[in-house]
Amino acid sequence: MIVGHPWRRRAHVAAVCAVGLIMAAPFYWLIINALKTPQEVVGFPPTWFPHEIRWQNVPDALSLLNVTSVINSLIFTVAVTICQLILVITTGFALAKMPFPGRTALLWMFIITLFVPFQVVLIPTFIIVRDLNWIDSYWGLIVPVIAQTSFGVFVFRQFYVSMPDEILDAARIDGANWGDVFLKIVVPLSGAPIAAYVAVTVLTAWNMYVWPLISTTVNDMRVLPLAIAALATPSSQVPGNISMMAVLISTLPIIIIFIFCQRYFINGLGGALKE
Amino acid sequence: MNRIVTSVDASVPMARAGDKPPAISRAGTPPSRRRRKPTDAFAALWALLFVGPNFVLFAIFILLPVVAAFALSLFDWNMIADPRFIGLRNYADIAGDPRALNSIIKTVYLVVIGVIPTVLLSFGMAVLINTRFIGYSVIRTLYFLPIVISFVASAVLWRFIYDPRVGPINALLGMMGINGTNWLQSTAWAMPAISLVIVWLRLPLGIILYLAALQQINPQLIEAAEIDGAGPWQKLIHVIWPNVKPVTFLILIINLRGIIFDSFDVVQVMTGGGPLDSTDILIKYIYDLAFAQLRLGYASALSTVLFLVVAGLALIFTPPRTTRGVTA
Repeated sequence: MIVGHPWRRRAHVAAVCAVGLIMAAPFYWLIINALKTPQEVVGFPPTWFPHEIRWQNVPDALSLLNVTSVINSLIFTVAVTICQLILVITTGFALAKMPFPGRTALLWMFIITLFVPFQVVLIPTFIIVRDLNWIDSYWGLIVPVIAQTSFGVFVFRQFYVSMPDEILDAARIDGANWGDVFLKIVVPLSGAPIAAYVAVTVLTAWNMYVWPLISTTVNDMRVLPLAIAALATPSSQVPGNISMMAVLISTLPIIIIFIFCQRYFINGLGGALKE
Repeated sequence: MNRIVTSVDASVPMARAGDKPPAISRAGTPPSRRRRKPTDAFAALWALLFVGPNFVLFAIFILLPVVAAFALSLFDWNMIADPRFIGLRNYADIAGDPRALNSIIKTVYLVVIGVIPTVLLSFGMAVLINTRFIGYSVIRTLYFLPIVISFVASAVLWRFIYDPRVGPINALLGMMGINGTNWLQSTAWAMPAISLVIVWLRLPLGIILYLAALQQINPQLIEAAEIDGAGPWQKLIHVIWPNVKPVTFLILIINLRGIIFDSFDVVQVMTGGGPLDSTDILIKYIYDLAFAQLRLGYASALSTVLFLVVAGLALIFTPPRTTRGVTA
């Protein structure tokens, strides 16, 4: 966009870098403090680079977070992503391409519930899960989150509406049933939206806080965000370097995935506009 | 639950985008596509297989709660005693509840100091980074990074950054000769401090959406403005800003909704609503009512009101063109 004199171009590049560094500065503070010694992290004035790197913070933070919360977060994220993907992709396809009675009504049902935030239905959902005796179980933790399919159904329905009918008709006339058409033709053509959807869903599930907070009460069912939040309670005696390392450990997997799959994240989020 | 990415938040752009009349009307006219295909007799059964499982889950965990949320607001219930029907009394009680009124004011305050900076800064940053140079993609990643950190993790991190003694903010202010305060313990500063965190967390999505919009502007428009002698500032105000207006509305609505409903994580971890209820926003109060005080009916009434207000605001801020698409 910026053309003209080289000095202006250079000033522009410098501004882009400077603002970017400001945006990322909290991450710098996170990383350096995650590596400091307990003495240095409480020292005044704060240091801008650790004098001495303490790797022992890693095992300390891990034992504080508890391996079960890491495992729970993995189970939660994988289960939510896979199950929700299967549900939204099949429903989205059916709503776009398969004739059946009540299709329009069903589509509207998904569209209208798009506008209802999860927080509004939090209380009744909690009561339902409690009545099912699902509190403190993986079922209670995972199933109500999987059920939030409005957004995904809509994304995939829009994607399949724009898929040409001829591709499907050719196979159907050759005698393939809907199941074959879906698995052998439709799914292989859906790589891009699936990647974008998976990227966004993994991020959401990994970071989810309120529902796990409400649906679990025991330590063994905690997911990472709950373990992290515990570090910030006023009564917490955890030293700053260990709590920063814990935050770093919980965020690092997603940062790494993000750096490698940035394109899918951005397509998944910005792609909404291309409609 | 978490910003954009959840079904809740990200849903908004998709819904807007897809609500254009052609997409809907195509679904509305299935009879015109009655072509005989070999297995059409089984089509309904296949459809049941494709849609059924999702529908069952959806009915139990989304549709039922939506209805129940409203029904519950007409009862007095503490989860232990039998629910008692009290009509609209819960709604009437809101007006006489000082903590509810305080939390409404705090929510409006957070929305104002959260939404406006998010929209303006994400526009500014998108314009700034809408360029190319060597190493550009690395630098661009820096702008998107806050999107990967969870609200909870960032709240823990920022509590540490706001630390009055060992935090970098007061250290930097000290270098400039300014005495920083204890941000999160100050009734005046706690909310702005929270809003800074929320804006930081919400900027990447705004930047991503604005970047997509900027790249769709016809370059000839900008060239024409240049030929007419427009400077960079005039181009920005008279050409670029009007051309991204639909996206501005979109970002406005996403952040309005997001800040009202999804700020719970940040507030809960950073201040717990304090000090002296100065950051006690509605969603935090509703959570306390439901899960600490067990006043489920009253909490449901408040969340129903909140939902209706946000839905109303979303309709107001929706550009007319899109609204017509929905109702057509």
